[in-house]
Amino acid sequence: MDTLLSAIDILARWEVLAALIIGSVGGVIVGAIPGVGPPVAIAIALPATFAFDPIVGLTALLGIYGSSMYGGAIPAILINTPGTPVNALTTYNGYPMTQRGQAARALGLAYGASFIAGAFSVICLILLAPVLAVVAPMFGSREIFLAAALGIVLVILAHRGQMIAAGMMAFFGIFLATVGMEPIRYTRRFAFDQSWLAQGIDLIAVVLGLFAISQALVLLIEPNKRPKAARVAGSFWSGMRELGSHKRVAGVSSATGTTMGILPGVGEFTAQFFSYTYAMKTSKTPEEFGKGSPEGLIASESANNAVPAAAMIPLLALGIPGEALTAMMLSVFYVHNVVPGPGLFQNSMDFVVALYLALLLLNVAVLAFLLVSTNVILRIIEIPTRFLGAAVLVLSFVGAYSMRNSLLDVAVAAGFGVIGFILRRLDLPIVPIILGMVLGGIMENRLRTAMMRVDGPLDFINRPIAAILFALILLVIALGLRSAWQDWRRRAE
Amino acid sequence: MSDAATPATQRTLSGRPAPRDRRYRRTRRPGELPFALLFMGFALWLFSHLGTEARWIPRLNWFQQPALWPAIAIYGMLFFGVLNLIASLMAQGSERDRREILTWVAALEYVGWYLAYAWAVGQIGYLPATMLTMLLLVWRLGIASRASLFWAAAFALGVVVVFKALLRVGIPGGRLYALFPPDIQRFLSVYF
Repeated sequence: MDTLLSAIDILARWEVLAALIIGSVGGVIVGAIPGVGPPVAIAIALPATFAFDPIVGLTALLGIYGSSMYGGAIPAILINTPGTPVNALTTYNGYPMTQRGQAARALGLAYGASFIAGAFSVICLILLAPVLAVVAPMFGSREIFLAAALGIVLVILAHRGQMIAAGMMAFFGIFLATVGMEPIRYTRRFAFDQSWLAQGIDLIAVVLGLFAISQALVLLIEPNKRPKAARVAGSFWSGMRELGSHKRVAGVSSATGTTMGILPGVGEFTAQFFSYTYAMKTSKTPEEFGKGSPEGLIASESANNAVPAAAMIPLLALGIPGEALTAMMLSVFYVHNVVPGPGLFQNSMDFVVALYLALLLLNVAVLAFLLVSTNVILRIIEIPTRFLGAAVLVLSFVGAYSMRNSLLDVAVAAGFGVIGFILRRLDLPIVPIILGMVLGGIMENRLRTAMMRVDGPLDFINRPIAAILFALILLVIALGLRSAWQDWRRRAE
Repeated sequence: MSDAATPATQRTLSGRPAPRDRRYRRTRRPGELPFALLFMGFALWLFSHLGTEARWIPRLNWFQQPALWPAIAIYGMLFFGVLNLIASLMAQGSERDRREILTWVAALEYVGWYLAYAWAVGQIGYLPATMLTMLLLVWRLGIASRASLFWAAAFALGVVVVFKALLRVGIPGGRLYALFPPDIQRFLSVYF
């Protein structure tokens, strides 16, 4: 109870509440604009949050992260264009409902499912927090090394059909983390006698380049588009009430999203895949899927909205980001010398609970905002894509330059912008680079610490959690290879 | 010769690969092979510098070696890079590689705009540089109209007010501000 009161005390500051509202409204808007999305917005906003307390900065970023998928459902349902990549599955059933004149019903279902899933995952995590406080300290250096290694393996295997490319990018990210002065012997690695390389490659510059500048280049190069969306007539309440008839699908999808969110490297797409498949297999009308099925819409929206809160678990409890957005948030902790990990749950449980409560409030604020402003957001969707590209390019400068007022950082970000642009053109994954960069650094440090305390390689896994994680890595690799083999055989037939 | 008599690995009369051969004949995306070659070239270049750019220190434990993680990363890049190159070579070729590479090169123009903008901020100040960049970009992109120019200017002003005046993000004033009297110079440096 004391923890809860202390958490409320942390939240009850005007800066935190302002960050919550600005983040959540901003998140809905960037989510609703196809071609922007939360990674671009978080990459741009990240350096600006460094000036604030961690709770203020993280609340604003969480606001963007947690609310963007609500916004992404709007163009997915109304104009058949997902606002964020994770809303792609929503188009399958949302757009056919719009074509039948049921746009308000589809949006009501999407908003309701998103809210239920968001609230469900936060409540699960609040209930789980005391358990995590007991379990997290059992993670020593070797367990954190193995969990980070599991994250790398999962991020490669989660890119079905693109595992080789994901592997290339993950190891490229690990390489980037090694450039510069090495922290133990202070030797230079791959600095080529350049002082700017000896300082290492800054994660923020890489993130800005790969996510924001590359997206700006895509928008600037491609032909100008101006999406048109008709005004939504009718009430969203009927769709939200209809959710009561699909409690099972909403519940299972929320639980799947929460579970998948906790696993590093997995995320929304896998959660949606399992939820959608479950909903279709157990539906009385599976033939409706892809033609405007409310269950399909609920499954995809619940699954993706349950992930953000859950994705904070590995970050807060172990200091291991599970995907690109939480990897970016990790830098907020580092800037303020706050080390996320087992100690955070032991010593600052009120901070953790405050973040969860902020997520809960965020869902309420977003739902209230959407119920009154959906038609206003439609005007924003109509911004010409090339204008959007110019705007993103200009915004990308702030983050890159404000770190050290260095044109070199801007040039590094621009270089990664070109790399990101090529990867986007080739439809190759970008996220593994960021995760490789963050997890690679963690693995290097943790392996050094862990190996000092073991006599032989087998001692490395002689603790229960380490043994379980090691077995999981082997199991996941075996399952991943099996599934890749089956895919290959299926394509061949 | 009838289809039934066609050896599995031989092409059919229509020029399409025979059924058993098709598993290897994914169509390559434009630019996929040049990228695979570039990536492999980069990984090999890094590999060739592994001995000189990262040190193996004698009598130091393997897990403390400064060169351990660069080596892991580069071997990983080579392993997946080779697999990617093989997959690209085995796929059906694309005739649009050249066009795709030209698109990559075309994007460099906007990288130039970005770098010029960054340079201009230090010279003429954040607000004038942002305003100028947005207006010129809108004109360059062929979307200039009275409305879009207005919104470009409004957007530029909004960005500067939000980031510099409200959030106090550290962007120093431009050299041009030195031409103004000290009070105005201070005001411009703090807010614009």
